[in-house]
Amino acid sequence: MTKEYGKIIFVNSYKGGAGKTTLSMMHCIDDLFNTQKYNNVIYMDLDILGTGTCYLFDETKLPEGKSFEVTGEAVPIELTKGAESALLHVVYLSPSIDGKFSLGSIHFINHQELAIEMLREKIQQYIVKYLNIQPGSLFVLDCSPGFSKFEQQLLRFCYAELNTKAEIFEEYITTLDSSHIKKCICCLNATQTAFEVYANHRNIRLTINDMQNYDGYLRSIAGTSNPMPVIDRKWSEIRKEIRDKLNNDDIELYRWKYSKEIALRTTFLNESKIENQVEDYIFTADNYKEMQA
Amino acid sequence: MNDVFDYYVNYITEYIKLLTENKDEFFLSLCDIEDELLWKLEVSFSSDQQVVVIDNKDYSQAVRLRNDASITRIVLISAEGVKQIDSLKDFNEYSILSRKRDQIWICLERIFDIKLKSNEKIFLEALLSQGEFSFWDFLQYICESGIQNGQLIPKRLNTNLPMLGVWKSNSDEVLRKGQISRIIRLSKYSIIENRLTKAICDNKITNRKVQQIITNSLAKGSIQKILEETYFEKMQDFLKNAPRNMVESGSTNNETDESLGYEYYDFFSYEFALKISDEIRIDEIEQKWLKHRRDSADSSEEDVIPELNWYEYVPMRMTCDEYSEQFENLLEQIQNLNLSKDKISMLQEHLELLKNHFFGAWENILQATPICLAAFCNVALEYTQTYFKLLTLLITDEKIRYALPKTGIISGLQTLFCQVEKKEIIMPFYHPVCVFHYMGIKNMYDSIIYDKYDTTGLENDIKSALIQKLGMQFPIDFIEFSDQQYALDYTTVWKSGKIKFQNIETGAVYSILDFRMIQKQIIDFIQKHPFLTEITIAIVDISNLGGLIQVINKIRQLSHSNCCNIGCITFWILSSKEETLKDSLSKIWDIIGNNDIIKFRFGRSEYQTQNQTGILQYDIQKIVEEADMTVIADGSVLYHSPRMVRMQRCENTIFNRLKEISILQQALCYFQIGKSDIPILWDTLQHITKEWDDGFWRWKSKAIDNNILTLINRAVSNNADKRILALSSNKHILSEIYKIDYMQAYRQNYNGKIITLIQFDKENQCAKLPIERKGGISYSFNEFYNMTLELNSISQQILPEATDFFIEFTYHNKKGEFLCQCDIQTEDSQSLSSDYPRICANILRWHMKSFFDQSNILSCYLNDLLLNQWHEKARSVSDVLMAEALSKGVVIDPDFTVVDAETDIEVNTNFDADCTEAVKIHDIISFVDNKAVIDENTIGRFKDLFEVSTLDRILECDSKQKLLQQSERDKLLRIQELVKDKG
Repeated sequence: MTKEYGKIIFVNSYKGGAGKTTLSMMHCIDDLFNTQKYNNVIYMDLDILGTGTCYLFDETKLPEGKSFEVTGEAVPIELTKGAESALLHVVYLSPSIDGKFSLGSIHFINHQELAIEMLREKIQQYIVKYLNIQPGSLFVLDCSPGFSKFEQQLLRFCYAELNTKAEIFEEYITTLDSSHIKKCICCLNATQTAFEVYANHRNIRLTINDMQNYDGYLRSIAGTSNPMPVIDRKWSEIRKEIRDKLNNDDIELYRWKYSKEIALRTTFLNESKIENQVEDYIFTADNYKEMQA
Repeated sequence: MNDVFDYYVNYITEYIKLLTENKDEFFLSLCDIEDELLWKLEVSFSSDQQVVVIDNKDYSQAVRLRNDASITRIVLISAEGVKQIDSLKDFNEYSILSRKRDQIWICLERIFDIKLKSNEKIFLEALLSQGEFSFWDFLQYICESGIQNGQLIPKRLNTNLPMLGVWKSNSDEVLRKGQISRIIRLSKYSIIENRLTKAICDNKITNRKVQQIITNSLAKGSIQKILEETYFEKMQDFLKNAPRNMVESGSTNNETDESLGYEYYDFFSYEFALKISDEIRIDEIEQKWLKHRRDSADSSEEDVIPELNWYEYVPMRMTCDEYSEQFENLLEQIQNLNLSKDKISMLQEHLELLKNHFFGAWENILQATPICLAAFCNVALEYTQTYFKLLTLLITDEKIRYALPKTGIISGLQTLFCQVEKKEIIMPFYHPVCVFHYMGIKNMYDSIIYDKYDTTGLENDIKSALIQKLGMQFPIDFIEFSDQQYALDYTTVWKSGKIKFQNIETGAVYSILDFRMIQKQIIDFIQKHPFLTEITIAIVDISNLGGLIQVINKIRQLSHSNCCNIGCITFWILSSKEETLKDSLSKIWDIIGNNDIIKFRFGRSEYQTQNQTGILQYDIQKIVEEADMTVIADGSVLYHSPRMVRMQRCENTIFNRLKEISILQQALCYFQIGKSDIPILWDTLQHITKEWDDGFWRWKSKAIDNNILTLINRAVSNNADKRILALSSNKHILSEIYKIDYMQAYRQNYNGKIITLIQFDKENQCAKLPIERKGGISYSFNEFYNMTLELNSISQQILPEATDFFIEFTYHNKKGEFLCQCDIQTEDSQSLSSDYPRICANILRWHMKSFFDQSNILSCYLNDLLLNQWHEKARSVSDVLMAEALSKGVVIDPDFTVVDAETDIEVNTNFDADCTEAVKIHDIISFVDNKAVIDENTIGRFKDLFEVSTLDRILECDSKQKLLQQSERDKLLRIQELVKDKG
């Protein structure tokens, strides 16, 4: 069966360090090696405030000269898992922050807003062109934290112009940090009314990244008793509280167990490039699931 | 008699004519002539050649003739042959009973003026290859059987079989190969005596005359009368089902079986199809066998049904009631789980389904057994799939997982159908884990059964031997029950109806090791200590006595030579299998023969103490002090206690695979890459019973106890005459050992496992390999297959005239190509078929292609075997790199040279060389091959595992030789650069 209908996932958060890039990579790699629903997978690093994609992979593969601002194209990176291999197409921005939003010209240095506008246009054109040539592709857009004008306009464009070619999906990540969750809820509620796309046309998921390993903490305080009832109750409480505070009942609530392996192997001076740990970026029914009532 | 003698002389005449056809000059020796006939053969066979009868006491005439330059055609006739006589070494020697059967048929046809049919040739070939009689007897047999119209008379051939010590048959037709093979096999004294005695005692033989013949014959210690006066067909019913204790099930000790003279078909159906049957349809073979088993079919069918080892596979409990009770207990335990009703119902439904599937298959699995391997796997598939589906549910459902600890459900499921005792747990062949094991074996056989490539059967022989080695591996290592841990007894795995797990309180042994593994080291030790007259060798945790006879023979040879003064060697055998080993020793005692030199001592309790946890352990210090040489064969004494370790990689992928587990897919995966998820599933379930942890866990049972190593090292440093050998199946052991002096290492694949032999001796020096050296890697074809797969004289299956092939690989640096030179060693180069290059090239190409194929577990294992061989023979870094390059797939057209058997071929047989560096180079290259890119984590791991100096030496060699692949080179250079940057 040919896959004609693609998907565009906006992965965002309202605070930095929530795990956007990791989750974005998991969406990409899980499709490449596990679910294999889409014909091509494109990862787009749109974190104009602090892109770091080039550090995730072998540094020789993503030099500044191949960044999207310069070439307007993705760079294919071969990933292997066991005997299987697949190509991930990576669109990344130059990590240097010398103020040169090049886009081919230094004239835009002093017009950052215009530069960002042009970048957005370029991205939109790229997505449109790609979906025309390669329908049934998965785009994962790794955004800057927050819901700035850049993301809003891009999102609006996708909902308005691309909904016949791809499913548009928004995923917001938060940790279990109390202020983070509260901010996330507040911002999501705000964008229900402030954003131009009607709420009932949007597909939104709020994903809690258990980066702190809350489950592990609950297991340790359970002692010799079965920890599951406590774990279930605590998560049920969290879910209920979030659900009560969200204005939109259609927002999915997900729980994501952050991998200790990924955490350890991305530490400074011990990092393992994604090419060497592809297996860790696969979803399971255990590590990424909907929060049940 | 005169007639037979005339035929004998005529035969020799024709034989000589055949051997010397088209030859103007020849020095020919015919041997194996019966002593009593020798001196009657003083007849000139032909006017144009000199024929001389000689014996070892008087061969002067032969020497005179040989020295006479004018005489160029000489035939010597003797009983023992002339090869051991220096002056006559240049004679080409042939047995009167030619290995080339075609020559025998031609001679027989000429002297009897007959035309042999193909079925007659097959019949006679079976007699010659399996019978035990002289050529004179054979000729006499043919004579007595008569000729009619230029043809042999089948009926008389069958009735005259007792002349060859074989039971007579009442068939009117020429017996088929299977039939005559069976009759020959059952004509052995020991079998007849035992079975007919039993038949008489059980009142099964009612005919008084027959009873009398049997009892009179056996009383005289002879079975000849029985063979002559009764027909096999009438007696064969009494020859079935030998008593249990006469059979060593699961034994791999061929010499023991042969010495007992017991030959029964301990076959899987696939082996029968490969080795004996003309048919290859497994389903047809199995249907016949099952029909025979069920119906005791008529005699015409029985002829092709071998004696099968059905009684090996009997259920441990004769009724299903106790199994039903196990299921009921589990259902009740599930009912009491702290779970929602839905979850409990779901689990109970799964268990009921398992129960129904199992009992539904019960009759059929007992009928088929693993002997009918395909049928067995088929009928057991459904309940096996259900069982593993249930197990994966316990792990993948978080709520269920956390409700299981302290409930006993996991141990109950893992020991389902098992017999549990304090000292051991016995798992029957129909346990789902065993079924999975057999499915793996079946997949291996399926991959070779229909392969028609090789007309000599050589490829099938090699692959069958591989399957036997790999079949000794079992999916799981441990079972736990009532807080006791039980370790797999590897000696009970292959072809066993009952797999045993021993309580680790008595110690655990992690692989099957025997004397073959340590033969070289023992001999070397004796040779290195020429002034020792008495030596004691302590062997700790050896599994069986395989190879002992060869070791003893070699020791005897040494004792008669001038290179040592050894007068007595005592083997201390300290093993948890003491009783089994004593039993095995008693059975081969007669073969060992005069044992003045060799003594055996048992008594492990003398050297065992209890540790803090109450587990009995060997007092290594005491053993090492008292023995001259100590061998520790992969036993728990070398390691820390087993502990659970969480898996670092691939958890998500494993989880997804287990969630949708397909046992067929798992078995296929095992066949393709040698791994499945079953061990992970099994061990993780055991972890669940202890901890509230997620993730996947494995037992780590072979973490080297460095205290033991230190003790050993100290022992050898204090005493230069001591040698200690540690054998370990831990693949990474060399990287787990910190600096230890006096150590050398070797690596071998043995019985399906990679075994590292670490030798401690004060004389050892870990010398670095030179970067380059002239020459390449060379090895003996026969020795390789003999040591690794216990296949003998394999070169003769390719070319009957070849005594061995010596293969050398070299690398031509300037041309950047690999060269292969094969020296064919033969005793008679002139008799080589002119087609020999093509024949040999085909086989050698297959030899190399199969190794490098690596498309399944068989070829991967072959690859490992050959790579280990090359590492052992490597004498420079470039040799090791060449081995690595070759193992990744290079097809070379070999060049051939024919070499006389007397010529010394330079093959590296230097035993002293240490493979440690070769192994480390291999490990470094494997390490980078598994890395997609070089990152910080890679650098950290590299520094933990390896020395940078080894990396430098690899790159230094590669800069000259260019043997690495480009990607390997790039990665190694990158590592070197980053490591040096960090200082």
